[in-house]
Amino acid sequence: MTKLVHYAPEAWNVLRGVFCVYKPADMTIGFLRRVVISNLCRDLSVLKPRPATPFVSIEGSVGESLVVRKKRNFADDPLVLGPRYQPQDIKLSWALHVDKNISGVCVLGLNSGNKGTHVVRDGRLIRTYTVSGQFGRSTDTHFHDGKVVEKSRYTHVTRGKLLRALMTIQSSHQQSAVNFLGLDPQSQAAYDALSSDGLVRPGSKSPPMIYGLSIVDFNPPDFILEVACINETGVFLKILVHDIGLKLKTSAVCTQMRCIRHGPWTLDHALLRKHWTLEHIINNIGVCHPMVKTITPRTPSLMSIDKVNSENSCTGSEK
Amino acid sequence: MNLIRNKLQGVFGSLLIRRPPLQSLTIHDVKRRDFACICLCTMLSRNSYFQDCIFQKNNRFFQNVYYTSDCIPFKEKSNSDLITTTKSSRTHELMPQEEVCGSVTLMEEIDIPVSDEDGDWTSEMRWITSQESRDVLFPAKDVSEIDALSPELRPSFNIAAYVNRSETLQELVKLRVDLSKWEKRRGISSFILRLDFEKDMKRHIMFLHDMGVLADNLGWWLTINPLIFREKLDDLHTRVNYLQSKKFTSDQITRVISKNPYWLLFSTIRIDNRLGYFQRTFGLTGAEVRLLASKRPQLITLNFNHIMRTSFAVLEEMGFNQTEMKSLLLTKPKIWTVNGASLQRRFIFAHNEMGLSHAQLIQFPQILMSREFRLKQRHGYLKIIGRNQYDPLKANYVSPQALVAGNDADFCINIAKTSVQDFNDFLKTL
Repeated sequence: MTKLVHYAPEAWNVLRGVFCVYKPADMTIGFLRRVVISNLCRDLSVLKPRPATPFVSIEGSVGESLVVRKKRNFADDPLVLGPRYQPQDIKLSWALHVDKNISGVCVLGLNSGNKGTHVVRDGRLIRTYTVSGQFGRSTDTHFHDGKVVEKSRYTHVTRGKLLRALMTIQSSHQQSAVNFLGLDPQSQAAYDALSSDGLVRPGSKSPPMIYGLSIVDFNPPDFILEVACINETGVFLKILVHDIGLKLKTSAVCTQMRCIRHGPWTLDHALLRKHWTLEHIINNIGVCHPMVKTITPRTPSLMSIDKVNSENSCTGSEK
Repeated sequence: MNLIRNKLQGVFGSLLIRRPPLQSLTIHDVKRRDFACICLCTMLSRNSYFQDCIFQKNNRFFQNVYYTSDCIPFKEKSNSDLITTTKSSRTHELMPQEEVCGSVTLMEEIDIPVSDEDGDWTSEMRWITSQESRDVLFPAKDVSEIDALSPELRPSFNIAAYVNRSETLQELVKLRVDLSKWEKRRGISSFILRLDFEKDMKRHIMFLHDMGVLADNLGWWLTINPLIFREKLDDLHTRVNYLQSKKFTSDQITRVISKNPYWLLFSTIRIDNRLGYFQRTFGLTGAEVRLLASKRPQLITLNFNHIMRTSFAVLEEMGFNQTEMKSLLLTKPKIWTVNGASLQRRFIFAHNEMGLSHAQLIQFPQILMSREFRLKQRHGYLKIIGRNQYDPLKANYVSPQALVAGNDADFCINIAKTSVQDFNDFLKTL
């Protein structure tokens, strides 16, 4: 259902919920927050504002007749009070902190929708990244813009060798996933969790876990990996690329990290920087609302994402 | 009150201990003046210790004390213990004037009506009220009876509290001056609240209007520069006359004054220095200086350090020569007002990544004023589809000016010749 909104308080009332943006690289999430908030304030002030409350004044003397007049209330004028919607009025936070160097899907909560970001965070959703790397050099920051500290040859690296290294890393992470399940390995609960269909997620805080590693593109010295993981940070992904370089007896540096999926949110849902406006954000909140509703509650085991999605689409079509 | 007394022990502890005639009173913090007043009242309400307190009778301390409602009225308590002192009897530590004077003014020199009877303050209070009548906090003279019944205005952090009572502020709002912005600047509110529209502002505003500032622009102008009301009109006329003497045309003068509200705050000597600096540093002729000043008046009153830093960056870091810098200044003077680090990044991208020569950058200085991410996105996309060809002598030439102009839809249709959806998909790979 579409509706045309001209009245600013009406727009303000629907301005709550979870939405998803495409964060560019080289932009801190705090900066992103400021940009989105200032855009929202700008757009809200263009709409028709609430009228000023009238000023009732009683004139004349007590002995004689008193006159009650309704006057223009200067104290409620936007020129005196400031704009009707100011940056400090808007609450905006993120479901998960995204590193400055990481670009891609970023889930944000707006006003009372910040509760939704807690749901997303507690849902322990799996994120998928495409991580680009380059063989032949390593830097002090493990990112391509750092100072080069080492150079090496990489002609011996083949696709097969890279794949083997990735499989080693993935299997070691899958082993440790059981350890971080948060359940007694001898218990019935642990058996149920492990035997159920889906991925084994860490029960509470855990180190980063990788659930899937694959090669998207291999074109030496450049390569692109797809990493499905949980609890990761930007530093972890950079060091992962660095470690792959070491495993292959060369050195590697990370050139790009792009989050392409965060649970049910994909690139299709993410708003580009030019679309961080009131209209697009309100529409996006509407799109994201059912996704927040269907996030699996916090349990040790996670149903396979594809299965959950297919169930959602089934129920959606029934409706 | 007990709490105040406890605090009093702390602040005035030294005074309390000193039983012999209390002659010194030191208040180190101007902000605490209200507290100090309450303290004074407390001290006065306690009897014998403070009988020989010495205060000046006719300073505003008493006024404040009088206004502090929860204290015992002055008349009843102060019998003969208040002694009027003359300046000679005060020691230097009796009343640290420099510190208190921010809020408490000692008016010794003015002839103040002083009644000899103790406890009769009516004449003094009338005098004080007459002195303060221009302040918004005090009621206007011609109040009708009903207004006198309404609660008096209290000190506030916002101008909004006074705007319904003050004709002056209402006139300013009608001119579309943004008072909320004044409020955020230090010292502006307290300066403006003491002014009267008819007496202190009207002639300045008429002057601005005569100079050609449009009525629609006046609010914006005054929002930026309320300090114009502090300047004398003669000075303002002198500053305009200076521009006329330097052969600025009337259109140029109008543009200078309406584009840069701060210009009129600068004395003719400073403006002359600054125009001279630009003429010397960039080797401009008189006409070029006038062109520059009217094209970008903000540049003339900008911080010198910033201008010198940008000139250095353009000459040494970016590698333009003197004549190129001059043409850059005359075609795009805004380059000198933007953030230096950001300008440097844009230049590096345009010159090193896009491969634009210095001559091309001189020809299309808009490239240096375009936002960095926009430049990166558009150049990156053209590179992907193989259209990043900025050499006019070859086929499929893309003008750098057209690259940064227009919105994304224009760019996709006219320059990249692809659909906007493709461009958006590309943006999601960055």
